[in-house]
Amino acid sequence: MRSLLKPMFRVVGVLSVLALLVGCVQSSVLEKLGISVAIGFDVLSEEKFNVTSVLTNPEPGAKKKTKIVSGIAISTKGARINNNQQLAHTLVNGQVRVVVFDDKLAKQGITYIVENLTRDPFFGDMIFLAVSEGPSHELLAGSYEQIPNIGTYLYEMLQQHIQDDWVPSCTVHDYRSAFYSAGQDPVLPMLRKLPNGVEVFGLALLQNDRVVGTIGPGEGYLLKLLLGKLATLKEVKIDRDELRPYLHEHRKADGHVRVVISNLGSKKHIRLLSASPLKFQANLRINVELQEITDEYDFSKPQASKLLQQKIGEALTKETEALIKKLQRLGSDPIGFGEVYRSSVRHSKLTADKWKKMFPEASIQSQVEVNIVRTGTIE
Amino acid sequence: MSSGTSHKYQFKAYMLLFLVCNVQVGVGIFGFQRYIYKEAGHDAWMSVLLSGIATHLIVWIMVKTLEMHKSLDLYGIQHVLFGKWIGGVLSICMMLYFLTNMTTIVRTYIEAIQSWIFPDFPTWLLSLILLVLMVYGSLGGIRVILQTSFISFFLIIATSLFFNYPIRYVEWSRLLPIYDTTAQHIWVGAIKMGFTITGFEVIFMLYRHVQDKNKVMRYAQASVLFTNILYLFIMIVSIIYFSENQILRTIWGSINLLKIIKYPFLERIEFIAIPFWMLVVLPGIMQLAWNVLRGTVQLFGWNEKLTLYGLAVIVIVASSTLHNRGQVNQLNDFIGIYSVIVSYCYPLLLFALTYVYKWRKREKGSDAH
Repeated sequence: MRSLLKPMFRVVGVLSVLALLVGCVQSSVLEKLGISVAIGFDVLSEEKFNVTSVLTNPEPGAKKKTKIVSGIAISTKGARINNNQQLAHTLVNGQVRVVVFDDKLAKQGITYIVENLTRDPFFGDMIFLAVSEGPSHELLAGSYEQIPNIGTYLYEMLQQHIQDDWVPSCTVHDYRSAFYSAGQDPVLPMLRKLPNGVEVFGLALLQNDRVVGTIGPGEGYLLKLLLGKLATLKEVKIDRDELRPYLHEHRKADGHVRVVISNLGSKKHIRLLSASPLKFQANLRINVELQEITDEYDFSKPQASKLLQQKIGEALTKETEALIKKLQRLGSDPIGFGEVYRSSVRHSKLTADKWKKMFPEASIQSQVEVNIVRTGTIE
Repeated sequence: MSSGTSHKYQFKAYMLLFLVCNVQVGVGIFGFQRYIYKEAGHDAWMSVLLSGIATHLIVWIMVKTLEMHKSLDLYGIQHVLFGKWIGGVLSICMMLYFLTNMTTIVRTYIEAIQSWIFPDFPTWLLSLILLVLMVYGSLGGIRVILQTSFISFFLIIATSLFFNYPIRYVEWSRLLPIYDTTAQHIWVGAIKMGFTITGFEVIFMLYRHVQDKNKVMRYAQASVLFTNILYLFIMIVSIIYFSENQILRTIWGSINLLKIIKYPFLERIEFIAIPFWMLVVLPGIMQLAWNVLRGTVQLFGWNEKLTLYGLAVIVIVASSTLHNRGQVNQLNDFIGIYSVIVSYCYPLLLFALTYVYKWRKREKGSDAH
């Protein structure tokens, strides 16, 4: 009897412990959650903002795939309380993919919002941040016939641009990493609403955490290459006169030739030439494949390709110089010249404020070398 | 009985490879980066390297000391060198140290669970779960502890493989310019690193139970080397992944490194890694409890089982009395200083005293002849 009792005692003990431990921690039942996929912040007045949450629709049998709630709040978590008040399901943020700020808020500064996103462990570090032209509420709450879920759509749209087009990575980590670095500023993509869709149309340049200017896709392409990342297609404008020897003359006499190149791999090289006066050399070497040329160009001659790549290089150099001038004028350094300075000058004790004063004064030379690897399947 | 313990409690020297590093790698790994970065800036990896070298030296000294004492463990050595009373007091201090260490590990691990996954998880319950497992393992003796350490060793390796993902987001220039700080800062950073890397003092206890004692040096050093490489790797990844002010604001640096990982089928690895880390924390506290038990048995001859239950209760109560992050941090700071003294300074003293002791014994021996 004793020998039987002991195992019985153990089994009962284990079972009772199991029974006692069940339900100790707050559980999350999927059917009871309102899963937020995108959040938009719009500034209303000094303190208040309008917060829009896009949820994957928790209502079973609902026609629309998403549910949108918005409310006015003073803090980000206050917004969560407010948005939750309008829901039958608990609002959770573990699946948030995109956070959009309207341009007015972005001009005032967004770091405290991003910081509070990071404070909450349920927000990931790979959430994309973006700036919208006009209120983000309009962008997120708009009804698009062809976009069932605007939250995941924006996420995938940004992701594909980051992977192989001109948008630099804009995750929460990238933002914080640049913001907390003395010699670099964040850069975020800009979104806008189209009549029946959305588009990413440019990049917002930030100084510390405030937007100070924007650049277009063409400049974004060069910026991304200067960050050492990959970007694919680029249209280059070249003066017709410069290519004259190899052009067929029967077309119009003046104007420009457009060349579209596809990047096969590029190398950036940014060097500090001298610390005082502050001088940088930014070099880019790009291997390209010719995708399109808006004129008949004679590639059969060996010099033709060489001339073209030289002219493309010159055109890109000019564009790069203009871009860097613009960045200096705006006082935003997304390329990270400050980081180059900090990492090459010993005991520089560089701070963000110091660099803000130094950067516009720096003289930065740039040089783009282009190598046409092939001209596609025809010459 | 030349080896001092029965065969049942003995193990091969290569097992030290799993045992020693397992006590070293515990909860400190979650967020050691910023403390060192605060001191040494982006040269923090030098501090890690420096403290690693110091650890190798100390391990060498420890094993040499133990070799001179043949089959004694720390409590025995203290008894021989300091006599019954002072030695006894020192042994009690050591046991208290192990006990505090256990509490710190348990509470810090719970803090990580609470701040990342379950904010409302009661502390007492989680520590109860941990300590029930600890009691279960420790009752099995050193061999059970060894087997759990073996599992956790591979878990540590598997987890560190995840850190290759954040490398996609790094900025290598953040390591430059090399040696941008002063030697003093690197030195202070190395001491701070000592807080994290301690735990290898368990060699003092384990040595007695090793079968082939001539190989202890090799495997103890190998184990410490593994820990050093691991910490150095994580430190370098953190320096190049986080920017300078970002790392200072990050409490759980290593967990934050995992936050960016994204596979098509799995995201937010940290929510898996933190609970998994329980299997790494557990053998560590089992070993510490086992260390305390060796002391209570030798000093007071208490019943092992009852003592172990007592220890578990003490740790549960002690960890439940710490209610917030501030208190956890205070405990960590306190145990940090304590552990640097115990694992870096004290072995030096023991080594020197052992020499004196041997020398005097030889003098006496030659007098008698």
